[in-house]
Amino acid sequence: MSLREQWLILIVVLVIIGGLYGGLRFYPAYKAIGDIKKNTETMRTAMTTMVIPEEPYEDADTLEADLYNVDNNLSQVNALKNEIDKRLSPPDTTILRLAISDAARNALVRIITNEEYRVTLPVSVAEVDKDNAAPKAKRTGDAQKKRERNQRRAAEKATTNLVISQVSPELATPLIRKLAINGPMERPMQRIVVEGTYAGIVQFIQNLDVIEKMVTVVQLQIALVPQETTQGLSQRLSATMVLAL
Amino acid sequence: MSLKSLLHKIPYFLHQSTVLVCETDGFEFRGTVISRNGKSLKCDFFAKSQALELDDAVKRVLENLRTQGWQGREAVLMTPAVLASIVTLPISPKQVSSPSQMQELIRWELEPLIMRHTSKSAIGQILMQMGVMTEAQVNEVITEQKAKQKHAAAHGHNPIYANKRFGDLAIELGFVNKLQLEDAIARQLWLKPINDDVLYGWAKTALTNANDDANNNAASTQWLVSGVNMGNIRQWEAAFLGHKVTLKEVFPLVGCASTILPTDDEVLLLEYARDHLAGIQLSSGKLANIEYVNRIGLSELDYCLETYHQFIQPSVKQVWLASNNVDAQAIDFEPIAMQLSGLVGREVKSIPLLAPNVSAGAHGVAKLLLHTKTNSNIASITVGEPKQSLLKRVEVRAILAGLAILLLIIGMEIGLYISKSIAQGAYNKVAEEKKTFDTIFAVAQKKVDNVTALQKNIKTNKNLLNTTIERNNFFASELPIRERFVQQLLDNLSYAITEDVVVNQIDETPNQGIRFSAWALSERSAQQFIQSYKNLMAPLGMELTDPIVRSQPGRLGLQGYDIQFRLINTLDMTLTDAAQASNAAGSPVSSTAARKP
Repeated sequence: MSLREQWLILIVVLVIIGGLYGGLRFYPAYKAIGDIKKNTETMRTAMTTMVIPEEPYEDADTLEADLYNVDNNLSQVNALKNEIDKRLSPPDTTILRLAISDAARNALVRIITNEEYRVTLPVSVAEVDKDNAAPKAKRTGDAQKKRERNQRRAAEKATTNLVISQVSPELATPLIRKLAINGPMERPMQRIVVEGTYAGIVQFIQNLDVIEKMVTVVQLQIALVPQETTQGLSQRLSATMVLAL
Repeated sequence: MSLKSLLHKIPYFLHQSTVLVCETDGFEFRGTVISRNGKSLKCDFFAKSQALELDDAVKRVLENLRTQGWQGREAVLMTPAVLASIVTLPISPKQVSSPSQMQELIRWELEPLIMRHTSKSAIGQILMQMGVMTEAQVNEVITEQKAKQKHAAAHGHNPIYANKRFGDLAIELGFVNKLQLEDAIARQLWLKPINDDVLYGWAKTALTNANDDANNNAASTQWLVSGVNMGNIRQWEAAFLGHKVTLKEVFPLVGCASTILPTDDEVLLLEYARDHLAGIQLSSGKLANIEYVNRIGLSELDYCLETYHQFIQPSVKQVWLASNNVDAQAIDFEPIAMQLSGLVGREVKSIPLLAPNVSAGAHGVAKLLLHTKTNSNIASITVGEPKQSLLKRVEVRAILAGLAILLLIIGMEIGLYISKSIAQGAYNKVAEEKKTFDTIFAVAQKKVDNVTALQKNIKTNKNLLNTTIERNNFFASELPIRERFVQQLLDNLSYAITEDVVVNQIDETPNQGIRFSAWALSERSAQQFIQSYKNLMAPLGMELTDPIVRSQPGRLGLQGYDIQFRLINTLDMTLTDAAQASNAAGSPVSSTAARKP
């Protein structure tokens, strides 16, 4: 074998072995070493740039004491709330509407219309109102409202009076907006139109006050009944009321 | 000094322990297995054959040796076909660069001697050695041969018809018969040159001169060299290979006994084999001169005497006699030595034999191969291609290249290992520091998170508290107030109403307050109604605004007065003004302000 051939074979073998060794062993190992160095540098940089948070100004013990106090107050307020809720109508308003009907009958007024009065605030408006009112415990408040609303709607479906009066929020009074769906004090509302004398209407309103559950007239409209009254008898009036249950 | 020579200085290192020495003189073939026995040698196995054919003789001897228990794979051969001589070469031992260089230099000097030496294997010489022809008969045949050639040349005949072979002429002349000629031809193959190629060998070191240093650096140096016809050796090699034995080296039949001389004096050694004699002059154990004498027909004593006179010099202190005879009956050289001693008038010693079957030459070769590797008294010829120097051999270069690559890979692996160790060490150190740092950070962060969580909980609970309080206030206070207000509104209205006033409509509007529409018989009744209702509603925080009284027919077609006014909560009015002002400015208005006192 000539010298040239020997050199050529040597070069070929060197290239093959060098390529195999470099590609399969040296490069991965070199890369692994590079990764280790890179990780080391990253950790070093992280240590130099990381800022240990300053000790908080407030003491945890003091805050725990404050929290304890707040919890105590909250429990007292919740107790009061539970008491108040007992006076509010349950989701099923059938019994209450029955009581309202009794009140009307006792006041000698005739119920012309008795329908659910629904005002739905948009969420953004409701959120603004909520934020302005006070942020609630979202979970319990929203879920509870939803449950109550769903129960109310389910109960209403069973009644014969399936009329729902849907009113735009812009046409509602501020008090009704508070009591509207998605409002801060959401409560079921009923729109009732009664016909009778002034005294009867007043009596009816007074009878509402004695019902066990709280019924509040949040909007009132009284107008003359179009028909002429027989001479000698009191003028008949038509009163449209929005009741908060 | 080369690595090999250094290694050879280690006793028995790289030395083989046994060797098969084969000898032939063209008529007999012997094989002797000699092994090292401590510092001496011993003969293990011996076999010989007088078969006519070369291959046959080799086969019989090797088979015989195998049967006796020899298991070797290599052999050396002593043959009279090898010619040794001292020549002067223009190169010193230090200047030898490659075997091919030496081969070329030796060829110039030895080739003429080889040509002359190969003539001794002519058919006539062999017939004389066989004893079937005399020298005179051989000369007569040669003369007849030349005469025929001249006659053919003179008459312009084709030379192919005039050149008769020696053997044919000898048969024509009646000196030999065909059978004898065929025997001689068969014998001739053992020694006859087959082509013109020659293998050369040389002693490992140059011969000593008066000044060793001068010899190593001189422009010309005396070397003991040897040569043999390559074709002849190749057929011996093939014969051995046929029995899986490798022929390694070839030696001259005579001239190898000088290594076993037990003296370093000025010595004349006469080494004799059948019709071959070498006169060897040794000075301080080193070869000073060697000459080969080939005379057929003389007795051993006459042969030795003639050679003695030819080589004796005054400086010779001792005369030794060695026999390499391979006859069936070994010639006892002791009597010949005594006779020669008597004739020359000085002591002639005979070299003691290792064993009756072991010739002095075979002993000398065995000693060279088994005990001393560096010797300047024997020039062997390596069979096969001359080995190049180590670094020039392809396999050695391949091994060195492989080792270099392996070393490079090992070096790179070590480098990688060290780099990785350093990097890993730094990583572990930084990781340890970071772990400590993270621990401190976690503790601090935990405190902060704890406080933040507490603050958030407090804020959430406070918000919830505020919301609940507001709700409670709304349902417990605001709505009842509203209830009372509505009742009071209607009650006050009934108080304010007179017989002259009729209420047409009460309308609670979203942002215009409560609108009242009534009718009075007289303007005075109307104003009185307005005034008294205003006074009644003022304590409730309601203000009567925009009163309008205008003439309008009413009930029963009577002419009366239409009354229009609004009741507005004074706080609502303030908020409304503020809302209107802020709407103009673009800021929101809170709708959660308390409305009723």
